[in-house]
Amino acid sequence: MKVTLRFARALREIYEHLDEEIEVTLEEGSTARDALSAVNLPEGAWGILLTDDRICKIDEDVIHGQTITVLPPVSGG
Amino acid sequence: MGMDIDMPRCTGCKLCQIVCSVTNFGENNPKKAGIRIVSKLFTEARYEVIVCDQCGECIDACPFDAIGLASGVVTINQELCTNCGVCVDACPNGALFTHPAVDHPIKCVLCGECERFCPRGVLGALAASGKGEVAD
Amino acid sequence: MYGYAGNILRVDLSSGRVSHEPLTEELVHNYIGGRGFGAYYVYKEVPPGADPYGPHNILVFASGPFAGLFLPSGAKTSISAKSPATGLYGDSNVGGHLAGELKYAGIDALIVGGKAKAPSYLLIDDDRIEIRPADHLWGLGAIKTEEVLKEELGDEFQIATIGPAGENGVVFACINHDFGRQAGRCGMGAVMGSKNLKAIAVRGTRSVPVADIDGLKDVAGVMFRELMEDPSLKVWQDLGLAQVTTWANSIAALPTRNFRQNFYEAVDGLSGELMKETIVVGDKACFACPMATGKLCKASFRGKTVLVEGPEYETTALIGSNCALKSIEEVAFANYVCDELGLDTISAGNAVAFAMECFEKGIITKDDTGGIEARFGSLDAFCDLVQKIAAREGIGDLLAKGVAGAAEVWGEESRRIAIHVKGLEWSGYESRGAPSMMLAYMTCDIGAHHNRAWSVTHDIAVGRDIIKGKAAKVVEFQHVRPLFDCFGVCRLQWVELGLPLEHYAKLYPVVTGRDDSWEDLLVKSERIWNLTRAFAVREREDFGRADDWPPRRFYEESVPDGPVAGFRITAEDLDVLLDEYYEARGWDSNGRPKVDTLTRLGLEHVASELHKMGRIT
Repeated sequence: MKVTLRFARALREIYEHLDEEIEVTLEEGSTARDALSAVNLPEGAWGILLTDDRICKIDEDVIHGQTITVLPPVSGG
Repeated sequence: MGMDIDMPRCTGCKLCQIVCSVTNFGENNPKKAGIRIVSKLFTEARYEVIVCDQCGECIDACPFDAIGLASGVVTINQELCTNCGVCVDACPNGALFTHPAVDHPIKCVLCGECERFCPRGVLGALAASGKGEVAD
Repeated sequence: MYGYAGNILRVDLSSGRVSHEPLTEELVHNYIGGRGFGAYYVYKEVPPGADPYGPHNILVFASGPFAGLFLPSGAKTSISAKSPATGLYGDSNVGGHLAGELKYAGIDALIVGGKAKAPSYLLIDDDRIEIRPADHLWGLGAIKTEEVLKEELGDEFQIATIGPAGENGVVFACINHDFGRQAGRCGMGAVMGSKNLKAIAVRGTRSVPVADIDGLKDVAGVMFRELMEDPSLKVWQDLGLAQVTTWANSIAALPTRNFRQNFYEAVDGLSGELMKETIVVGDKACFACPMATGKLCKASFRGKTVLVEGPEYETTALIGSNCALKSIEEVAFANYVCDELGLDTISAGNAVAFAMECFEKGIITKDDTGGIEARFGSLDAFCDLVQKIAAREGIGDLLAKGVAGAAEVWGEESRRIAIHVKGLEWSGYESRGAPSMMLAYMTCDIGAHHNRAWSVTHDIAVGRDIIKGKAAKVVEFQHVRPLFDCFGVCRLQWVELGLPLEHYAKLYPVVTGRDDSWEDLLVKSERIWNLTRAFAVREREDFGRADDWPPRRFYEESVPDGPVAGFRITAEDLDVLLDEYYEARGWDSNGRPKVDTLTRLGLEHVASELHKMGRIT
């Protein structure tokens, strides 16, 4: 299945290999964490994930065609 | 005709005031603005938006016939205005503002810029009628 | 002068004299504003050895060229003085609406010196400046004081106040403004209290001139549009800074039980999501800010229901997990208690957690605490302890000197777990698993605060166990982040929403008409950094490398549990970090700026003064 990841600008500034949108191919039953590992993001690199205007948990199953917006972790004010 | 205002969503940032002054006076001065945000934090945990709802009571109150409707907007004719302050006292919403460096009261001219910039959509679509009451 | 009101206001509370000075080209060119102005005046006017609580200390309130203008969140006032917490230069900034109001009243910096004979407050109403009696306010809570003054003077006045903690000289007393915003750090509230100054109230009606109003509208218009279109904005509006809590826990950076751990097993009770569901009743923003990170909350405890702004992340970390409280509502209530007392929640959380751990270890007993069962997880104990701190009663009188002061009395074992640098308690990121962040805390000029450099994401990106090569990033952050404190603008729109720095580089010329490049501005920031360091070197003959050292806990204990269990950083690692850092800064191996470095930065007079004293080479 294919899942689209959208990366917020502040995150792309830290990880320059990220495009604004990346489509990843995953096994059925994969989670949001699997999608992020597919683009080589280390644990802790992301903040909140959004899907359909709600917060998506990191261990939540993802489905074909889903878009996940990946926000950066906060930067301590 | 006036603004439809969703006050509980207002966060008190006063961006509307500074946008108004930049737009209508070309200056950075939230006191030169036709809108005010008043804090009711200590008692009611909210902000109040004060802006003209175009009710027209100031038109009748003005002793110099300096206020009238222009394209549906209550407008002060600065040539005729003597800055006597009668309209300021007469406004039921307290939405006519004075400033020491401006020789007439300041009020909303419905330019729409504050609505365009309001981050919370508080100053919603210009309503077809009615007063700018709290829309819970 | 474009972007400025053009005026410095001096108030000498001893004589009651009020005077104006024109803002000079030299000051603006070299120090920009905000923290830069604070550093300049504190270095120039507070003599070495001056008592932070004495009349020779000054308290500087300074905005900056971006404050009060049509652009995202020009809301910051920097407040500077010699800090009673560190005995060194200190500053803390506050958002809300004070910065712009000072400029509308025609003031770029307000310098308060001397000491009033009786409790007073300062009224600034455009050109009318009065020192007024404040007997009716003395003893009131910080928020209550603001409420009373707003009733007396009107809502248009912007007001900064202190609570009982400031009156009583607690070294971590804060200055409160706009209901629930604080200049929390470095004891600026204690300096204000030492001057018998309960509040300042400001109202102004002037416009702030800018060089190119159309240019400003263009650049700011783009900035506002980009902010509004960013997918993160809604999360910020919804959760504010509370969203940090679960993330900090997930990456093992959440201070827990006096920084013994960096992972809190009960974090779900403190999450931003739970906060929104259970206690948030409204959102609140600083001037011209779309993010509205302020969350108005209702919280109940001991039969009392209170309205409080917050808790934001730092408060949740230091009072919540660090004292092992169970729910976000408990944290919100504790937040309220601290706000009214006028205590910095970061240092208060540290002080209470420190007492709780000392109680647990038997270093202190109920005889010391005045009967308080000072156990982790007890909101009762938290409230009782902070009341005693603000009143300086019993154990509170010791803790009112900060964890470093209390540890002097409680002995060596307590010193090991007194979590501070230079006397300022550590803020919300436990850094054993983040070496560059550890270095940022060690070298921050005001003590263990995160605002100058925040580099946890850098550690995550390049490897959390890597030590070498990290100092450069810390230096880079220590120049760019404090620039925002000089401009009088909030940096969250950049660091959190990713608004490009180029926008700020473009704002500078349209606001000020000056042609400094971004690189030029960074040099000014480096100049300020070296000036505050020079203050420390001038102040203390023995100031140096040892002052940049973290508490022993962090290099003697490995992380006990959580995602980075077993992680540790060694004293050798810390030395590597410091060596690289001093090298990158042009400082000697004892952490003192070299004559050449100060000279390169246009601080020849400082270099010559310190050289004559035999402090630098």
